[in-house]
Amino acid sequence: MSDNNATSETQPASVAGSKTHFGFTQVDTEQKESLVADVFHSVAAKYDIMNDVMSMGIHRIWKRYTIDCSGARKGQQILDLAGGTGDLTAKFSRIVGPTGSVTLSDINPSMLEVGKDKLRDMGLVDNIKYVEANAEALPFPDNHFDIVTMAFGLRNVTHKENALASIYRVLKPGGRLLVLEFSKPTSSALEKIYDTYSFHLLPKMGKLIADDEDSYRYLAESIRMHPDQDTLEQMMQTAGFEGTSYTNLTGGIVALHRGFKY
Amino acid sequence: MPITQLLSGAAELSANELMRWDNDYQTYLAPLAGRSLGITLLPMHLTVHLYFSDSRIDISIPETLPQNEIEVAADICDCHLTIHISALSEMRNANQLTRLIKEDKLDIEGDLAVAQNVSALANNLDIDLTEMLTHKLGDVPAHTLMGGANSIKNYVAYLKQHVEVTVGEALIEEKRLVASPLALAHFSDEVTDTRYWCDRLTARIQRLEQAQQAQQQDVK
Ligand SMILES: C[S@@+](CC[C@H](N)C(=O)[O-])C[C@H]1O[C@@H](n2cnc3c(N)ncnc32)[C@H](O)[C@@H]1O
Repeated sequence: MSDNNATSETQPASVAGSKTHFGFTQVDTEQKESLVADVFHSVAAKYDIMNDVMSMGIHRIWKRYTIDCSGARKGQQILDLAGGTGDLTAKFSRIVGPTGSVTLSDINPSMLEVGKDKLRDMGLVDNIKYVEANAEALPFPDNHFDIVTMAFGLRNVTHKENALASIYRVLKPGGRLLVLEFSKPTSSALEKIYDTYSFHLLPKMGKLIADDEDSYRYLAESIRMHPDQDTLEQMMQTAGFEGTSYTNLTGGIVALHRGFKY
Repeated sequence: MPITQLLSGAAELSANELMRWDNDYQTYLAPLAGRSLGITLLPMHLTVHLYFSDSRIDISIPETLPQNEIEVAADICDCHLTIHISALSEMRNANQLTRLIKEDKLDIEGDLAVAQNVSALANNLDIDLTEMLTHKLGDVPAHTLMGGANSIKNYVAYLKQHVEVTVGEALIEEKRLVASPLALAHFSDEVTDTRYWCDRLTARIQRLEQAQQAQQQDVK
């Protein structure tokens, strides 16, 4: 998996005329952001229901595990980056309480809007901020957050190393980053089943439920193009993170990476 | 799939579902809104964090990091209870708490009011199970289920009573066989008397033996 994706992981910033991957397609580097934006504008309204259907509800367990590994506590400042419809934000908001604050940040206004509505309906208003931002250039002060989480967001970012550097900057010393992302299944049998599911079934489910086959084909392809567990851990270390580790979940279909800024 | 998170998710769902069957649940939750309670069960060292808001409870089972960071610090929550599993059933009785603390079966750190409010929440919630099941399953299955549950409950109660009666009767029978304190005192007096007479008899025998030895020496 890691050998598929050399294009953008090794390029520190956009160079005019350079190429990157958008799923399995090679596109101009400057184009990727808007293509990703189109995908999430298109899926925003049906995003939550599709998440439940596609993962058979297991994404809730993966997210719960992320929360349980966060060490979050009352009064903390937390950034839920690429937070979309705010599943992690909802839990964090109740943990940090009125003296803490959770920032739900996403590059996509449609996803943020769905998130804002959902969290308001849950009665969560007081300690949540909504910030439209690109993970590659975060508009927050240095050393600001105790915890940064990024769930299923990093693989969509054009220059992942820029995003990791940006996260490192906004974390307080002692703070931690948790990256929950699709990864490489640890057994080849599981990988085969998973590939069949993601390349054949997933786009069809996308068509059936959200009338959007292309976006869900991109989802499957982008998972394949994402760095494997060890490569991502290495990238985190390069960005300056220490004490890095990862845990495979559901046979490595998903992995939770952790790193600290000391 | 992380099994712990599956279980805590199921526990959280059930706790919140159950709680909503008491119309006053928000009244009981109100003093806890924004507070948190940590519970560590011994000897397994299983830690659970409960976060309360005005309308729900979130349950988290904090994970320790592979490099053994001190993650499950007791001060994460407003109040932290460390309880030995054998003492769990006694926790409802507030009078037992001091004894449990003395016996090292319970340790409380932080704001005791949180633990008291959680206890009040658990005791005050009045959940009509029949009504809840009727809503979920329909009239007939709910009543059949509750009827079955009540029969089991009654049978257990009968068994408990039966065991209590049998044990009680056995004790009374046993008591009849046991000597009264007066008889014991009398017996003890008789033993003392017998010992006295034995001592006197021994002394007389000794004296007779000495006299006999003296006579034999005189004959020689
Ligand atoms: C699959 S969704 C995940 C949403 C949410 N974290 C969850 O787990 O349900 C990916 C999100 O990443 C956001 N995203 C993509 N590229 C981004 C970037 N460069 N910066 C910030 N967010 C980005 C998308 O808009 C989308 O909301």
